[in-house]
Amino acid sequence: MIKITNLHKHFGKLEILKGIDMEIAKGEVVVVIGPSGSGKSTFLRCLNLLEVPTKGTIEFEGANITDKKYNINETREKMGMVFQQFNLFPHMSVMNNITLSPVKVKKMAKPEAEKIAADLLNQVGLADKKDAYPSQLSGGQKQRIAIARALAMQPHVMLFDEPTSALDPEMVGEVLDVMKHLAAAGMTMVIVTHEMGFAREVGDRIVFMDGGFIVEEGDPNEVFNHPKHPRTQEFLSKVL
Amino acid sequence: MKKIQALLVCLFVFTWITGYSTPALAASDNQTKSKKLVLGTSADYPPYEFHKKINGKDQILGFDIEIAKEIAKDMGAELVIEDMKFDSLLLALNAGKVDMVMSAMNPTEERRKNVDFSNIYYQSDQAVLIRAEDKDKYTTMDDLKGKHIGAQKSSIYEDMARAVPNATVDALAKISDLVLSLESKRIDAIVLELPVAESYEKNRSTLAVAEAKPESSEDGYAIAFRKGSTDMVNQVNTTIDRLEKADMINKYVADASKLAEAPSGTNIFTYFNQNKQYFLSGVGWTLLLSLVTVVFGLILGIILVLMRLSKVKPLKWIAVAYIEFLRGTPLMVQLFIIYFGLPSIGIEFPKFLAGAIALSLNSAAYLAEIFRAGIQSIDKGQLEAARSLGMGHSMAMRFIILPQALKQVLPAIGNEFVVIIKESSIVSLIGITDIMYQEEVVRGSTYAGLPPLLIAAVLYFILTFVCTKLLGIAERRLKTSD
Repeated sequence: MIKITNLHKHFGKLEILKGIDMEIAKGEVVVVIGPSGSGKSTFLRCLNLLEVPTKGTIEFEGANITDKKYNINETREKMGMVFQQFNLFPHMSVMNNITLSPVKVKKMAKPEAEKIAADLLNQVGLADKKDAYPSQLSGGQKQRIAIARALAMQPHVMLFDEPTSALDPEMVGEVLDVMKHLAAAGMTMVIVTHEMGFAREVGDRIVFMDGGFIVEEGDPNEVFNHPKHPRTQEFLSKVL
Repeated sequence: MKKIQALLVCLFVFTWITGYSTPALAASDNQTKSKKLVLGTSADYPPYEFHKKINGKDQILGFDIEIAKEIAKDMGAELVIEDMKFDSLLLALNAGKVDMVMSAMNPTEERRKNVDFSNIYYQSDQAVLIRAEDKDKYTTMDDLKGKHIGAQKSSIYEDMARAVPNATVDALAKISDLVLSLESKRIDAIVLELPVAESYEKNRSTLAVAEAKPESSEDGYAIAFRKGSTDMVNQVNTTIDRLEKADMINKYVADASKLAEAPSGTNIFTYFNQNKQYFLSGVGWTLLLSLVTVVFGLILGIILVLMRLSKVKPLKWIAVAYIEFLRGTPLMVQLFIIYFGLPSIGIEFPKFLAGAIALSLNSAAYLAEIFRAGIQSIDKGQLEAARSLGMGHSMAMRFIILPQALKQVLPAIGNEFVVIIKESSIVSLIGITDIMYQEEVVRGSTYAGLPPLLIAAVLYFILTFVCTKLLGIAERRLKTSD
């Protein structure tokens, strides 16, 4: 579904990604782990071109989206993204946060968009919050709304950029639960996270990144129980 | 869209009114009398000719007007008065818009080349106006040596003031401003016309006419006619003779001086009440001008900030240059360039439009910078979230960034609106009849010093205070989402 070839990203002289190759299949849940500054967030943000790669190609459903002539907005409709800082629109109610893009970008009729939004709010357990404003919600609630907002565009893949890192510990569970359900329903997902238990439980594949490279990847049990590379071993010994 | 259209219509109508209305204060010009005599005058010079409200109606009075009435009577014609700027009087005469001009006009050699004049109907004297407590200090012109003397700009009185050895001369455009300077001790004396000086002496207990008297070089006042109107000139001279023989002219001068007097013993409230219509019409114009400026300033400001933040380099450069230039030059200079400068390259705006354009262009530069601060204060995660949902840049700007930025900068915008209301007072310089202009009119015609200024200050304060409160309400409304 997504094919990444020789992906490089520089910020000025700083080289963050030094050549990433990866393929993600439909329905697969890929969890990216690694120390801070390893480039995992940058890698994720390259997938929907929030960061423009310096070199390399990304193919999404057969189209080369790194081609300058390619209309990225269409691809972004099909790639939902969830941010560490939620990034809900503070000036809009929860309902409008969710329906804005379906109505404005997809030209969906407002009642239809609202019906989809209501279903999604049910799914994330926040049906009663549809008229609330983001400032009235807790962090965990905000993140669940952000997931519902991304899902409202009916994406083919969901990208999660450390979705629980900004949350109080007692709220992490509610967000992870929503993500687990999503994975169980067959959604293709790429998740950058520090939640190792979650990674092991939900991931079809674990990717360990460090220093701008993929150091090791494979089945969760393999990577967590028998890490091959010394850097992976060192990292896991610190976080587990 | 409808609102904008309505506004444009309003703007058009008002510019049309201001551009073309010359208050024709004729008693009634729809009466079909056999003959009309149209008098051109510049009614800002009491006691010669001036505006005054009689029984709630604005009228033009003065002893020039009384004489003109007698002339009309002798001709068996109906008198119609056209009020216009002094500079345009002779142009209007030669263009046939008026039949004669009476406006305390000296029959100079220069003017005689273009028009015919009647005999002199009044010879004025000049005088020195001083503060009452200095009455004993200035008994001869020699006492004024080395003093601070005021005179009306570009008048013969300015020359007289400059002829005093070692004197420092303050030349201001308006007698009323000179009087204010005198009362506040910025200057020690004013050289001016005797009837005017006497009016002030009568009306202001703080002022007196000095014994010192400037040398006269005046040659009196006469009535102007189109070249070749010999019959008319002769007829008018007969009337002048008749009035002089009956000593009527001196009576008219005395009467007019009395009429020009401000009602005595009034407090500021009754003073405001008496001149309400001037002030309120000023408030109307100030409000309209500010409103137009706010609307167009906002629209232009948003366009400018989008250019300023655009990735297209030339657009960005244009916006930066525009903002820097407009912020770096005085509003007054910009106003004068638009009103007085542009006609030389064939672009001519009516004065209201010129004022609105200058104010809008100027405030747009400030508003653009305010918006920029607002847009840059919005977390970049907002734009990323919007883009990741498939919105294009302009859509994200419109639905996500600008609404938040606007809310963020509302207090700063409110501040700019207050500035606009106050700065708009500058348009009185090109004759837009806003609060400041009306204040000057009232001050000139009532001999009052401070009251009209205080009233103007209060009126401006009410406008800005209401504006601040309204924006406060808007702010609270928008806060509901926080």
